[in-house]
Amino acid sequence: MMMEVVQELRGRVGVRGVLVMSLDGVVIVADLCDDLGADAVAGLASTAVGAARQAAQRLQLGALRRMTMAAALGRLVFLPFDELILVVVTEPNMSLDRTLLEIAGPARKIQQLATQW
Amino acid sequence: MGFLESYKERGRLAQWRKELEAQPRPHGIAELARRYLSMGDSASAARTLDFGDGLFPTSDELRRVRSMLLTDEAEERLREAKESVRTRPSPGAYLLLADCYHAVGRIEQCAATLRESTERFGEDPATLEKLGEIRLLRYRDSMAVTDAVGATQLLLRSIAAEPGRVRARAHLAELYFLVGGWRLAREQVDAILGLEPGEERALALREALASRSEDLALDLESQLTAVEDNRAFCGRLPWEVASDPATAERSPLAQPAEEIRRLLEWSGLERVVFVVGEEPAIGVGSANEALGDASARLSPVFDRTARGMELGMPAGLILECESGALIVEFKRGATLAMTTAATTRLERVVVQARDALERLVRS
Repeated sequence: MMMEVVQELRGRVGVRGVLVMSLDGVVIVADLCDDLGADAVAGLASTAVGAARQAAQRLQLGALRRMTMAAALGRLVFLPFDELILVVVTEPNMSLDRTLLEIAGPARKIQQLATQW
Repeated sequence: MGFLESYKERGRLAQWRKELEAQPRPHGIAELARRYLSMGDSASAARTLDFGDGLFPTSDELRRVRSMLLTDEAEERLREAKESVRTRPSPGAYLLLADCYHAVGRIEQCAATLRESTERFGEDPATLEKLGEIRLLRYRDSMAVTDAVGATQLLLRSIAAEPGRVRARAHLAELYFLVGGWRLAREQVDAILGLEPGEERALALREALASRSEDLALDLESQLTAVEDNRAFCGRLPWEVASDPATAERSPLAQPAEEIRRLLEWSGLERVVFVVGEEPAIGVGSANEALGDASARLSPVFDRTARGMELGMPAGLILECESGALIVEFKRGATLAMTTAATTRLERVVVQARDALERLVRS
């Protein structure tokens, strides 16, 4: 079920890779482009989300809902759901709003599936 | 707006202009200029702003409307250039269109236009030079070896085809200087001054090179790799460093602080911090020290994440949380971080942050 949703998200315009992982960096489901290793991505993502959560706490911004990182060659969107994290890699040139719109529907489905995890 | 309405509106604006001439005030002048812009009358807007600038040279409102005017004029030139390419295509028309895209900051479209010209008409020295310039701009942000090599190759090809291309040599000299290739930079500077003895930037580079006696490494590729690994250039271009001691003492703090204060005032942000390299952070707003600390901890983590996933240099970061958002923008070793209570429509804030960081880095 989750793999189907991940594949659906992977097929969206501008999406280059999708990964669902546990909070401590274990890959649950992944559909990434060839040059990205799922375990490496999960490890890096786990550290990044951990650092972001600490920053949010320190700055009294409340719980982290979503994190977006833009880089020269791509964009990363991290969505933490309770015990899971959804990581989406997208093209760099899509507008932020469009990117988040493309991700929203499948992300909600994954969140619902995550509650059953 | 219909013809009659437009005529009446112009009459009202003319009357308003007379009132402002009798009793000038910056908000009124800015609003008048904005109204002319909304009617598509850039000339009247420009005249109004010139009048206002003469009386209120430091007005932020007038400055903001001036930015809108410049954007409008640039967009009009861009439209004309696109039409030229469509109706009378030529390498020159494409180059003009590329320059117009460059002027409005649409660098990717600038590069795409130049590539299309090359595909259509073949390579020519001017197009190669412009492509090299764009690649050099990208290198200034990315510090990636591939961008430096790409820029160098394009500029060298331009010069090989037309040895008298002073600007291509100037871009090459800048690149070599930035990465510590003093000997190679000197060669280009000597060539430029042989062609144009009074070329100011070449003269400034020659003076800066006089104090550099040896290359940091004989191998250019090693130097490029060192720049990428250390995320730091070996030299600063002399025209990007304040030469007046009084200005040098003022500019590292006063201009950025003023820019950040303005950002805080009209963007609805809570706190803003700006850091360049190892310099002390400049912050405004409540508890900005905590923000400086948080962004300093986050920056290396995201640098490792972006590089680890082979996505290149990180450009920006948005943390959306229950009670607000943290936005961080990176550019050429500088970081601008801010928090806002807003939780929606953050792309607008991000665009403002990006523009502000560009101005801060340039200052």
